[in-house]
Amino acid sequence: MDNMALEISNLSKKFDGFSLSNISFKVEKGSIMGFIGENGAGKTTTMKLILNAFERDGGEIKVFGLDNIQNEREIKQRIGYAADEDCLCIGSTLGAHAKAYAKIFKNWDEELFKKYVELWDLPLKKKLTDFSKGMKMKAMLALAFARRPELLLLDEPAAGLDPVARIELLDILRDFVADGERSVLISSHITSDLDKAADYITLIIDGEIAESEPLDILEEKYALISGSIDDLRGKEYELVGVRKGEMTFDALVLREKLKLFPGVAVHTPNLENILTFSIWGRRERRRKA
Amino acid sequence: MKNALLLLKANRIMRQDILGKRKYIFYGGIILMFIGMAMVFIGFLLGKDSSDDFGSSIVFLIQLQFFLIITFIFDGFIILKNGIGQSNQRIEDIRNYFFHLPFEFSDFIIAGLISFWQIFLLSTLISGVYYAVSLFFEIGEKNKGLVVLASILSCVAYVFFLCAFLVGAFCKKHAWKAVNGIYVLSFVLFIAGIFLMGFFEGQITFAEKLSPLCSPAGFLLLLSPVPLSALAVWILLKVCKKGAWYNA
Repeated sequence: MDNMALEISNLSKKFDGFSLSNISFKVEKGSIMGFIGENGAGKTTTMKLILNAFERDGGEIKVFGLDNIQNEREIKQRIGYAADEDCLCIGSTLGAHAKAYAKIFKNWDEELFKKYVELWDLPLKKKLTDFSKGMKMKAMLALAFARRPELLLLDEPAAGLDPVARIELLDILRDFVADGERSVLISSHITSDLDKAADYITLIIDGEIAESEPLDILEEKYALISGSIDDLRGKEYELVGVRKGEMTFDALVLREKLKLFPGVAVHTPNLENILTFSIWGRRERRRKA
Repeated sequence: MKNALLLLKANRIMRQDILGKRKYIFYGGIILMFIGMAMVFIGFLLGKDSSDDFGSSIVFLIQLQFFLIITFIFDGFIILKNGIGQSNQRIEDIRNYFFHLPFEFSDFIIAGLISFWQIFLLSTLISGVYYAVSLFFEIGEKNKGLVVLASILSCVAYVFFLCAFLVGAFCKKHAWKAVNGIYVLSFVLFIAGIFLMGFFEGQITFAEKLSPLCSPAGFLLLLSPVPLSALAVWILLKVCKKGAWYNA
């Protein structure tokens, strides 16, 4: 338990037309957890439940071993948050936010804030309404890092960032967790970024956790196969997901089931393959059901 | 309490944003009030009859300021709506700004009530100062009964304000129409108090007509919302302690 920054067990939340069911995963201290899934899968809702933005229907969320509702203030002092939506008062300036945050957050580091402001060339006196989407995200990241959090929750931080800033962000995140005490939960659609930076991956599909494993184990767990449609005959149900052409197919399969598909070409899947084939497979099974 | 005060500091940014151009009205009101204050004291120094001229001006300006503050505090009220569950873009913006900051929902309730107490305290302070001044210059000795009646109406209005919080806290999602109704009713009562005085124009001074808070009874009644709102805080905390930022 002491080694866990975040521990979610059997979390559930129902909305009209959508529900999170039995969400369980853990984020170890000193690690980066990539949180992936298609739009509307429940990534943002899960992050907001961690911050007690929504009332959960069931389950448990422990941050640094503390219940997130009973210890809301303390936990939020130790969490940094940045999201692909306006979590800032956009009629105000970044400088005004920094001034307010300096009073609110006990671990506020003004020098660190200035460092990011200089790195990303952020204007302090310009209204946030005049910021581009990427600049707003950089502003949120600067404010999040300057809190000196122990856990960073980043919801689609790469959205709107230019490639240079994205690479810089990945480097910053690696440095951030390097001391083994701080952790990151990051959701992103840009899976190639997570391939480079994440230690663990949690895959959420339709409000349910499909996978939560170390990235290397996840990549070893599956194989990407391709071959002739005839190779699939009668065995399609053994696949995680498949994409068929007229004569050929590509599919994701558990490595332990590779022996069922002799003669097919086998590749190591990347994160994008695992994500997309898992979603396609789930959709296909739902359609058949 | 410390956290609620911190929240009020965090709220300054949001307040500026919400106020927008209305801030000029608000700050204009403050400037007018000080001009009025200056006028009345210059008037006293010049030996003018304060009850009919400069006294009337200052009381009028105080009342104007009171309504400007009410307008301003609408924003505090908007923030309190957060706990009541009304949804519109502005409320969403407020929630998005606050929910990840290190505050509990109870801090929000206390901060909201502190911002309302500011009105009571400010009004009490202004009324108290004016009352002391009026006693000194023997203003407003006629028709004390009407002044008390208007004061009572004003206080009933305050009580309705607090009832609005309670209803909102207990019923959450579905209470908003009732809260709006009570809020409007409280204003109607307050303004009714002022107009009631208007019917007796000529029997009382202009200063008394405009300032139901300037009588001894009014001054005492003005303090009554303080224990009542303390009770409201206690109940709200009991109800909302485990509240989430969104009532989804």
